[in-house]
Amino acid sequence: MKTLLRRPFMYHGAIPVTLFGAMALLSVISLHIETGSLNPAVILDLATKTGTQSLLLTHGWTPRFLIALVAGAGLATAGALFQHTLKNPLASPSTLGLAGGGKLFLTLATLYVPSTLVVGDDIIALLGAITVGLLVFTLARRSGFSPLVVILTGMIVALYCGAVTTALAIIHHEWLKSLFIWGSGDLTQDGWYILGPLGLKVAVGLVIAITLARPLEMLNLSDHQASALGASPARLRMLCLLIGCWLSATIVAAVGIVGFVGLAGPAITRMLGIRRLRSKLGYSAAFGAMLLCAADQGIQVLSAHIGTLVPVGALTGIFGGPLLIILIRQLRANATPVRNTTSTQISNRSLLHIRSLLGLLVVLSLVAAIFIGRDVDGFWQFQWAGDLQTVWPWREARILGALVAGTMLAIAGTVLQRMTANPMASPESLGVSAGAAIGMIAVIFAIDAPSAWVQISGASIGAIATLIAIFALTRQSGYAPERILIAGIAVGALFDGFIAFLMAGGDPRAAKLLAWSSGSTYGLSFDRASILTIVAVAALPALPALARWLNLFPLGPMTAKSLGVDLSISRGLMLLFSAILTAAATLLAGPLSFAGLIAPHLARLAGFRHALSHTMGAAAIGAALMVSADWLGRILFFPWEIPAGLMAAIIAGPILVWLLMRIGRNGS
Amino acid sequence: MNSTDRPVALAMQDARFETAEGLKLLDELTVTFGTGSLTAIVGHNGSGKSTALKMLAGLNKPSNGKITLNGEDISEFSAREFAKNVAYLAQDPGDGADYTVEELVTLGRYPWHGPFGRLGGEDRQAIERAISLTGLKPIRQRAVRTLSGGERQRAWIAVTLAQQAPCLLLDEPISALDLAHQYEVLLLLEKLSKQDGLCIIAVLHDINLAARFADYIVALKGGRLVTTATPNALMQPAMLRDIFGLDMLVHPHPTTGHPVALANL
Repeated sequence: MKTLLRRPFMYHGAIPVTLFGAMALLSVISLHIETGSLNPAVILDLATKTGTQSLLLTHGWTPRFLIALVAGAGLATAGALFQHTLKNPLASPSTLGLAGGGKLFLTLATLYVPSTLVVGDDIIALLGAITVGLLVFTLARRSGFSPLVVILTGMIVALYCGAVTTALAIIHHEWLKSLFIWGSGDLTQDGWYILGPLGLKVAVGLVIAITLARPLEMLNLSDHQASALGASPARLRMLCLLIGCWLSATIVAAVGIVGFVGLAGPAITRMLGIRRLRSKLGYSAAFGAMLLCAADQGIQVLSAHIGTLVPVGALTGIFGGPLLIILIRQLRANATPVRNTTSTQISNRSLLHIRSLLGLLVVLSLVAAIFIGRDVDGFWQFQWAGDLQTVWPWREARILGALVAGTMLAIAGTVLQRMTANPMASPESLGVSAGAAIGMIAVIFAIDAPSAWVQISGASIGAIATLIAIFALTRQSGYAPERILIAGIAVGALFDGFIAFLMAGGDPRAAKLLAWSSGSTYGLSFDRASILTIVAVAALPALPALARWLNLFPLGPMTAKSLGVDLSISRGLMLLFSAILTAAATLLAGPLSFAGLIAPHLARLAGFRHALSHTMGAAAIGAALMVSADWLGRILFFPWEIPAGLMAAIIAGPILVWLLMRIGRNGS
Repeated sequence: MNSTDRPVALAMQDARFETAEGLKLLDELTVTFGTGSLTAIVGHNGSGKSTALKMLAGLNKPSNGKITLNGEDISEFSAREFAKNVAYLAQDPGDGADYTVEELVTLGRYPWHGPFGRLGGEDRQAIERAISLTGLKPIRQRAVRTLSGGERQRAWIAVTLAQQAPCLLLDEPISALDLAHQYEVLLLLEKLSKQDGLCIIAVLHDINLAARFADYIVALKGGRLVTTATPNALMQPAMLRDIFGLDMLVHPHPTTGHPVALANL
């Protein structure tokens, strides 16, 4: 992306001033809360004494203030490095999934092989970040590092890491709360022992980056040109990414995931029209430091008022979503679109085989879900007649619910993918699920014991509002599918911030929310499952009516329009349809399952090309996925349960990676 | 200004197109296109050829002036009604999703059967005709994505033919074709305009092919109209220098007598 000098420094000079002002003001207020005085002499006096208040100042407030500066500077520098290397204004430690990877590796190490932690937790986090980085870049390489493909891949990998981390947290629920607080980025300090090492490590990364700025500047040129000038672009790129990974990993290891500072710092720098890499790095670090510090001081002031502990990561998530949306609007519409996958010709005979296999799969998953379970002692059991009769009242509702939710998500995903001609579209990636979840949370918190219908209405309103917002935001670009996706991801980030906020705040409803947001079918009542079924059955007759449009849209909106499709009406109806289905399914499967993302793909691979058969095939796969996820979640870690939605995400993840590799291969 | 002696099908009146950033891509464009004629739009890169074609197709709304179809403002038409009258083929129509050639061509019938209708006998006839006219019969069951660039381009031309619109707008329809297929497609377009009385407007890059096949040539330069003329009137060294900024020699073709331009370098 070119950084055009569209807006001069003068014009935007207000931003750094405001930022600095906010940081200073909030720091002063929180210092006042901490010490009860603003008189420098009193504070200095306090700092030299011992006693509770002095300790709070010298070992709490001060290191926290400094660590916010250090972490913010490091994250923003890492973001600037990634953005420079990938020529991608949306790159940052969190959007590339690196932070999520670091956190996942750390969680794994802490829970299973704590002995490895002696090598240093930032080394573990670095390994995680590099592993995820390699994965994301391998997947994105075939698309020629198209900015949006890189970010989409990164965000999906981040979601996946998040899902696995949550599953781990559920299995080891005794650590749940601390994992959550750490995971959402908490800067609370009780001494100086983190700040020193972190400051040193970040400083090393910063100094190396700034020293190497001149050769790294070469990456602005095309690879051929850079080589012609005697540079080695591949090596430079590797170096740049490595420094970025190092900075991200050390910060994740020290304070957890603090999203979007890495995105915002460089964004402000770009707005000011700063173009040389060295200045970019410096300014980004400064703005990142001020941003995180302002946010963290703001959180302290807020926490003092509402009396709960709120991690700063939750706040940056809430602000980061809208920021991402603003950045999309600036992104020029020249990015290569993501292309569809299948290009193989499938003969009718093998098509028949594939379809029979698919049918078999659905039946098998149902049979397994109905008949196979574990008894009280944990032994595997084929449950029949008497046994089945005993467990059936509990089992029927969740099997029905999983079946219907999988079906609905898959259908919604197929509609969205065909409509946007974008293979990465789905209720999950468009943020529709997250929107539905926000709607439902609002209802749960606003009304005492809302009925299922009220919840569905709330979720539907949330889903539709999200869709309208996303389409309004991307109208200017002519609804470019890539932008819609990023806008959707931004909404998802907003939601995550929200959940983290409620979760760490300790509201009693939050625990239920966590179970639900990971898609638990545990304790699902038959009434509720049947309500979902009614919604699904009521919505299905609309499908044949949409089929003609769905056949045309994969050719692109231009072609659809020149063939006489009224774009706004057809788009509106299709959106409404998928929003309702998503809302209903989200109530059950939670906002993350990937069922709506991968089922349409697998159906296409199975040779279903026409809208109707494609949708039906996807529905069968979605249903099978959710039912088997529910079943596996129930029996695998017996007596613990992995929620169905989470389990589905974990099953779907590897399939998704495989699909992404196919997309990459055919896309270039 | 008048480009034709036949009944006017499509017309642009003082049309202007500005981008959202206020960049003027086209201005003061007044041209008429008659039925039963093949019109070529020529011009240098960025002269506004594709933009003009998209305006005629109703895909770019004019910032000023208007576009009419049979005398009526095209914004008055419903999307399907317009598509029954005007077929448009984009420069890069995409790889045809997952469809086979035949399925892709079938989609050209959408304006006729609409979102709910079924394919009737008339639809099938139109599809068959489009497939045989474009010589796609041997590959009708192949997936569009597996075709060569030229085959794919012919498949898309077949889509617009299946649409059975009296006006055909084609943006560089022969750019991916080899020489033999270029002539084949242009001969087909010539035949359709003469025999079926279609109004065909095509953006063409090759001035000699335009002069050989078109009844009229619309020349654009920097977003403005240079001239609308018959090939014989346009193929003059002075005119060509004005349009392309290049010295050119013009000679009659040894056998057909059509004017042929050669760069004089």
